[in-house]
Amino acid sequence: MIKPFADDDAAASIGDLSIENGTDKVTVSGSLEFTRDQTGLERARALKQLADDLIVELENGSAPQSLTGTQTAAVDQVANPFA
Amino acid sequence: MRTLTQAGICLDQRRMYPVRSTKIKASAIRAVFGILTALLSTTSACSLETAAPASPTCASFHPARTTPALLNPKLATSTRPLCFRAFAILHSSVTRTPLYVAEHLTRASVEAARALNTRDNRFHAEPQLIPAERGELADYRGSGFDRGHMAPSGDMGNTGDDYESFSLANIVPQDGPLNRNGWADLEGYVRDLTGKLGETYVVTGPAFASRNLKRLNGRVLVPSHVWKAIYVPGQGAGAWIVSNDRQQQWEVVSIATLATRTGIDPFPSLDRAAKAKVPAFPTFD
Repeated sequence: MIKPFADDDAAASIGDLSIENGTDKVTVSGSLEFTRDQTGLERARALKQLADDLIVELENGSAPQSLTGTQTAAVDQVANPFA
Repeated sequence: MRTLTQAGICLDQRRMYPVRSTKIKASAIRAVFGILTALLSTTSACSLETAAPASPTCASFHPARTTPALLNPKLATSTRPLCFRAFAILHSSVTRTPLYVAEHLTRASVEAARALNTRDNRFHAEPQLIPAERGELADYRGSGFDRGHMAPSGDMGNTGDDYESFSLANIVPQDGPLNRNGWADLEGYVRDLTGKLGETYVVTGPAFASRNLKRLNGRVLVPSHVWKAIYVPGQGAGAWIVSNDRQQQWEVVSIATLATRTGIDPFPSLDRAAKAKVPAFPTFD
């Protein structure tokens, strides 16, 4: 599992749920089925661990009231070289 | 040091892969790429293939072992084929993205992928490419775009293949909501279809089909659309193309229409009638 906010390159998945780490945000997307078996249990534990780790990091870190202006990389526009 | 200008105008990509055995060992592929990398310092990728002895290749990811054809010759500038264990890529150092990624999915490969209950991975720059040619993690950081897989992580049946799918050579800048919702649903649909029908050949790529293009960090071009073409032996072929923006305009098109729109024919071995058919696929908006 990822260590929340530690880096920009870690990714994980639980079933069809995708988790992407970032130093300024963690993204979770997709859907997740919990079957009533060991697979379901493994998934539930993984999801709980993720939520626990997120809360610990946010509580312990200096989480500001809100994060503004997350776009940092330059995005410009160029003519299509294949046109 | 390799020079980009020698990286080849490989118009006929079909000749890039010598036809040979169907079983490919990862170690053999690694060995071949060692040789390729060494040879590329002195020769172009195109002439290399005719000079080198026939070797195991990624040809099995393509129907009739025929690689996609670049109909727009401008796309061929500074391209390089890359072979991975579960997919084959044509990479462009103009866009610093793949131009297409080919997979061959089977019922067994889909079942293996589903059995991988949890995954852990890291996005990484492609070590087979020199830094000047490739996308870097820093190009995407804070860009507002997702790092969108072309060959999906969810298709990979073991951790080694899955790691390779996180190479930035398999990634394009993709609209976040599209990547996380409709596009993910499409990937699941293709796996479901493969489970039902037994096997599919899948080619996925970006399309650069607008007058102007966004560019990340002065380096990585953002595609105007993304597309996925599938061919089911004995059943037919078709494709999806969707705008890479918040509008997410989905279209289901024939292979012929896709080729016209993108400049890439994903399945050159199919006959004209098969390429002209528009399949009854759902869309994912």
